[in-house]
Amino acid sequence: MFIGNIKLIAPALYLCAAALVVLILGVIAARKPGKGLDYQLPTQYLAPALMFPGVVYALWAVLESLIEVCYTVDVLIGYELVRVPAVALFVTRGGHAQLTADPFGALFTLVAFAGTFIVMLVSLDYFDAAQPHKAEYYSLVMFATAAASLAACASDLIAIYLSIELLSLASYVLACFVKTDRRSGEAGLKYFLYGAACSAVGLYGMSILFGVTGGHTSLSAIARGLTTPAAYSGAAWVGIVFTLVGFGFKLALVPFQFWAPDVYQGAPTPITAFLSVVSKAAGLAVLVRFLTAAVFLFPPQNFSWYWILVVLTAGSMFFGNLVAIPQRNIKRMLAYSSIAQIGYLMIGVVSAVHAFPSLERLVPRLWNLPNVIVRTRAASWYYEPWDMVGLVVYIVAYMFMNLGAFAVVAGIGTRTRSDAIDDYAGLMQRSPFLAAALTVFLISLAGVPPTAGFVGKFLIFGGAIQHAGQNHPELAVLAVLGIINSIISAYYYLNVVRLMFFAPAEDRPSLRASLALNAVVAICLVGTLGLIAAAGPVVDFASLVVSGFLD
Amino acid sequence: MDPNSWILPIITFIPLVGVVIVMFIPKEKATPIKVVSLVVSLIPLALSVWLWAAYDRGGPQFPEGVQFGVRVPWIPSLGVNFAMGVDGLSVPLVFLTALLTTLSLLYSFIIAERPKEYFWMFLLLETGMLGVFVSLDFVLFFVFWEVSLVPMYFLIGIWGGPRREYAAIKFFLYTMVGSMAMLLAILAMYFSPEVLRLAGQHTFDMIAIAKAHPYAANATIAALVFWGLFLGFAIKVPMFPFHTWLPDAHVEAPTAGSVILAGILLKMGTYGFMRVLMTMLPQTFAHYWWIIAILSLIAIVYGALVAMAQWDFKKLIAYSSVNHMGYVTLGCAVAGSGLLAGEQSKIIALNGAQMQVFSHGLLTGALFILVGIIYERAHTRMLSDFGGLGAVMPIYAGMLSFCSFGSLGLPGMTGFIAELSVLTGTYNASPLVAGLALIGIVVTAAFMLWTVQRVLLGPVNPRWQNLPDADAREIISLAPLMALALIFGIVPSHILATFNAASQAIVGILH
Repeated sequence: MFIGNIKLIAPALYLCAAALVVLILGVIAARKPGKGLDYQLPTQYLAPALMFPGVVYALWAVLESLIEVCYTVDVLIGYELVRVPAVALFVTRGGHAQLTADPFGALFTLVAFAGTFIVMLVSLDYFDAAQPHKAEYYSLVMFATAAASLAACASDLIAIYLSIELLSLASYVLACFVKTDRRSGEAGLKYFLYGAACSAVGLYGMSILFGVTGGHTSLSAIARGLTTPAAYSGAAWVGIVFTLVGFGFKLALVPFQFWAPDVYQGAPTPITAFLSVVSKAAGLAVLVRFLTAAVFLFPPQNFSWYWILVVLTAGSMFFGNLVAIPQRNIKRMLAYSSIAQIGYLMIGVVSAVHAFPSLERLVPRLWNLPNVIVRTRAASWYYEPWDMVGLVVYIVAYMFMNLGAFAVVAGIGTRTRSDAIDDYAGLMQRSPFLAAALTVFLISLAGVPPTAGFVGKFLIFGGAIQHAGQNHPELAVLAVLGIINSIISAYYYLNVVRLMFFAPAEDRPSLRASLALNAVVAICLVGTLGLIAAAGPVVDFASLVVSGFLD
Repeated sequence: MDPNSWILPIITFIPLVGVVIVMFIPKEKATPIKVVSLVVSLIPLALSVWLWAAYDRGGPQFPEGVQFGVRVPWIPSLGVNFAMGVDGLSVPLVFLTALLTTLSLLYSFIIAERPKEYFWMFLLLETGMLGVFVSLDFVLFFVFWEVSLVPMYFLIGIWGGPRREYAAIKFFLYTMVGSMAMLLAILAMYFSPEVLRLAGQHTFDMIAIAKAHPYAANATIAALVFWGLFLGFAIKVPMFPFHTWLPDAHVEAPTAGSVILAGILLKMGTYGFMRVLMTMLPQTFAHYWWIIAILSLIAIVYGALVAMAQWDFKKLIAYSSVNHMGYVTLGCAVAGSGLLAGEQSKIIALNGAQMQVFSHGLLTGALFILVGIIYERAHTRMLSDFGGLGAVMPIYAGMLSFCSFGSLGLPGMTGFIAELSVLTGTYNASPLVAGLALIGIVVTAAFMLWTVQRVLLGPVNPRWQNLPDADAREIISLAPLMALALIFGIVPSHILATFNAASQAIVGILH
């Protein structure tokens, strides 16, 4: 086996080590709360302090992989000389990589890391210093993030499954972390039961794919296996669809969304934020890689998995937005809203499928090239600037605006002891900064300029329209549905704004936000409002990342 | 770089600087907040006067070129630029925006509730509106278009009347439906092969798109794009049958908000007609002009009749806006039609439409202030409650009569020039349409005169015996509007020449 440039996944390794440090020191500190180690090096400060270098490291890894992706290396595995991309890691016989730390994976790693850093700062404000089991809490968050990072790079079914499961297991525990709250326990249990079922279905699908493609787990080998006559059977189709069930669960894509509202409402708010951003980013990266690396070559007559995705995309948008309207609890509302947000992102995913050439064009070349670079070499000729750029920009925008919204919700929830939307009435008088910030985040989620959400939606819809012009009218339909949904969503987002600004403030004390909360909200605010000014460099950078993915 | 090219970004973003300044003033200090806002708003006003003076009427007109142009790459890989520029179509609108904002801010000194938010939102609104009129890149245009939406939502929702929350969300959602349809249409134009062929890359540059005539060869897609854009602009105008948000928004908005709504925000819609629909999709416009003409006729007649039936003074003015904007869209429809009428008559119609835009901004803005003045004093707007105010408030009575006469199209004021031009142009193209539009003029005259009669004449209601007359602040807010309506009504040649250059360029595209 050829290990490859291990530096590229070093952020994840660093995070695992840091999580162990947090765990050990935290457990020692917890023996004497408020004194000794807990006083000198409190876990809740140690964790973000160790997380921050991780974010910087992840940023460095993105740049590094942008350079590395331009190269290939010839390696001797067994008695065979194969040429593999320099970003391939743990390459086995036949040139199959377990992990591909390309810029796309590195960027999703960065999103996961930055998101987790923000979540930690929110936790700092949400829990008080006497939070029980904080060592376990923070180390689990860090392990989950490391898993998300590995999932974003995984290019092998086993690697995908292991990293997604690690992320899920940590999330199950985190969802029910507030042991004294019955709702939190319910959330954890529900999440675990549904998660286990969907993960089993997904695993079953993977095993079918393993079988019909001739015993391969690597995505590139599966891509090749799917072009052989053996794969024209219905079994391969079943395998693909079952695998998608597993990914759909992580994304809370309709109809696998049923866990989300209860879990989002019951889990501690910082964990809800974590699940809605970091966990989804990982799921999205895996889905995109699975679709574009393994399944894109699947014969057109069996292309129906694509139509399933199109229908689920539309379904997620409508379901999420329509059910969000009557919600009275803001966390539940944001849960449904994030189901809809995944719908918008899925438009980007569905368009991304078309960034790759059709089977007929590809097959003649297919057999002459080394396995790993089949996809890449052929695809780069068809690259256009709108492809997948929207997806990358939107996930970054989504991180800022959704985490920002949850940060405000967490901050207000701890101070008013309520997550009811009605209790946001007159918030403008009680805390102008938080109210104004939440307004910006909600308007951004609705996709109104000049916010980051608008930039992301604009690019995603633009990409869809572009492919719609190339004989894919269903993408134009999706864009129109996305637009309609933006309008529906504006209604319930603005309902919160209406209460905060228009409703009279009852005589209640003004809310004091802590430094951590203000800092988090300010970071998210800068990201949400600043993205449009920096749109030029951002789009260029996203194009680089995407072309690295394709090239 | 040409120093002149900085003028438009400066005009546009000065109010945004004002927003930041106001945000740093403590909210208890109401007077400094108001004074600072007013002073800040004077800068774009002064610069826009200079802009109009320095503007060269014989110079290039969109889409051949623009004046005071500035162009900086923004998202180069996607063909997005920070591009601004003005021509005869936009220069008067920039001035009108700056003027009405300043006067509205002056009038708004009475605002006692949450003045800080009110004033910075108003300045933010000004940036959005100015940006729409000077943008020459569709992304920039769209961003400003939406930026002007959010502060107005808050202005209605916080400082509005009893049903403000309903009116605010209705306004927001209606406009958002339109702007989202517009966004899709913009993206479709961006990806059109014609633009790619002409510009060498996909671009949001409005000049390039206008020159390329997107989808000229594909009537189906062109029609889809056309109706998408049409929806966005028609909701904003608002044209019948998309006008239902307007009475609610106007009635519930605070006085200054109504002034800006009627004076500027509606004009963004007609500006879109002239700048985008007629120039970028001229063939499609010529193909469907009759639909727009019919909707305009309905707006003219129906708007006037509904206005006549109103007993709420403010709602009456709101419906009269539907009627007045009908002339604008009628002028556009005739000017962009495929009729064989001479080029000259189409130009006259379009000149009239632009004049109506300007005139309506002045006179209806003034009328809304006049309604606000009486409402502040009497706390009612019901016409049945008034009567005989002419004897109690002579100055007010004079101003109300003046603006009402202007609004019904009395010769000597801008409204007359506008309606005359539109009808002349229309008559040359289609006497039938012109004849039908005349009904609206008659009804408008009737309800305006009846309103003056109901408010000012007749026996004095004893409740209003002691109402104070208009004070200096109110007179100063109104005087510039009335003066301009009169000056441009008596000597219209200068402003018409400005409009004419733009009209020639637009009509020339089809011919």
